[in-house]
Amino acid sequence: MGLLHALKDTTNRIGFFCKIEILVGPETDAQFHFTGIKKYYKSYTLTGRMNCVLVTYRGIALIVIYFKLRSKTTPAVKATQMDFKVYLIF
Amino acid sequence: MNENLFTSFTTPTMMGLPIVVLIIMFPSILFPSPSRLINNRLVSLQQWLVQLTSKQMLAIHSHKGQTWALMLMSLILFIGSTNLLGLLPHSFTPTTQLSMNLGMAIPLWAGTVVTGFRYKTKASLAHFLPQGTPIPLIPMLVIIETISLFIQPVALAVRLTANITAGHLFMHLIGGAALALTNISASIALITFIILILLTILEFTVALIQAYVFTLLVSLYLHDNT
Repeated sequence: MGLLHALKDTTNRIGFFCKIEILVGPETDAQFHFTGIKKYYKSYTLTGRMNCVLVTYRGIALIVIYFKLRSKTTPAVKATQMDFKVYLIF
Repeated sequence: MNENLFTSFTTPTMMGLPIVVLIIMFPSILFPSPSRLINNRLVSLQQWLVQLTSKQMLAIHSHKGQTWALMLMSLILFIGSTNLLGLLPHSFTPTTQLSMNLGMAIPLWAGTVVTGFRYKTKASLAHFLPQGTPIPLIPMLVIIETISLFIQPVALAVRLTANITAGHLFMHLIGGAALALTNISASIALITFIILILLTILEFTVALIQAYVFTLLVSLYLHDNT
């Protein structure tokens, strides 16, 4: 009985280490069974990491484009033009 | 003495014409191409050294990475021989010039990166994000990894420049100090001279180690991308 318990304990420990090996070993997309959006945007898979990187770069590009477009049509420029006209009248 | 401290780093000219290209090409004279089945002692020794280095350096590479063998071996031989020749008195060392080291580092690094993006696009892009990163940290880590990628060639060039330049400067200073101390105190001059000898031995090792480190890092960048 004691031997059986020891064998079961050892098997559980081997299973635990095997699980760790799968988690930290070379990643292959087939090993992970994510579904939905997690399949493409998880930092454990190659595809997920690539997509996260691409999304980050696109987000930065969008922020840069937003600020560039906003600086072209700022209301401060229109206000100084109005002040200049008022100054000329007086 | 102060005005001569940095004159060894100025590009040399002969009758007003820069001869730095000749100096860069000079180490190739020391490596004659083997023309016989059984070569002379110099060529045999050089071949043995190249085989030893290439076996050790290219063992980790795949078939694609091993196509860079000629480039890597040429690189280590060039930098090593240039650094060693620069230890001769009153000689000019091309690897003290940051422009030259950047000229070596940037194309080699860019070649490895382009090779990686061309043949393994997914893995190259995935390199920008370490595996298992928590989601809130992803944007920051991607930016940090991108910056660290672009710093690699600069670090390569600056490392070589700084090591060789600092070594030469230090030797110049210690040598000047030993000379100045001979009239003041012979015993301190002797200690300074011993320090200079030890420093010279160190500079010989640094010259070879820096060549190896430069080539090894290029080899590692290639390994990451092939």
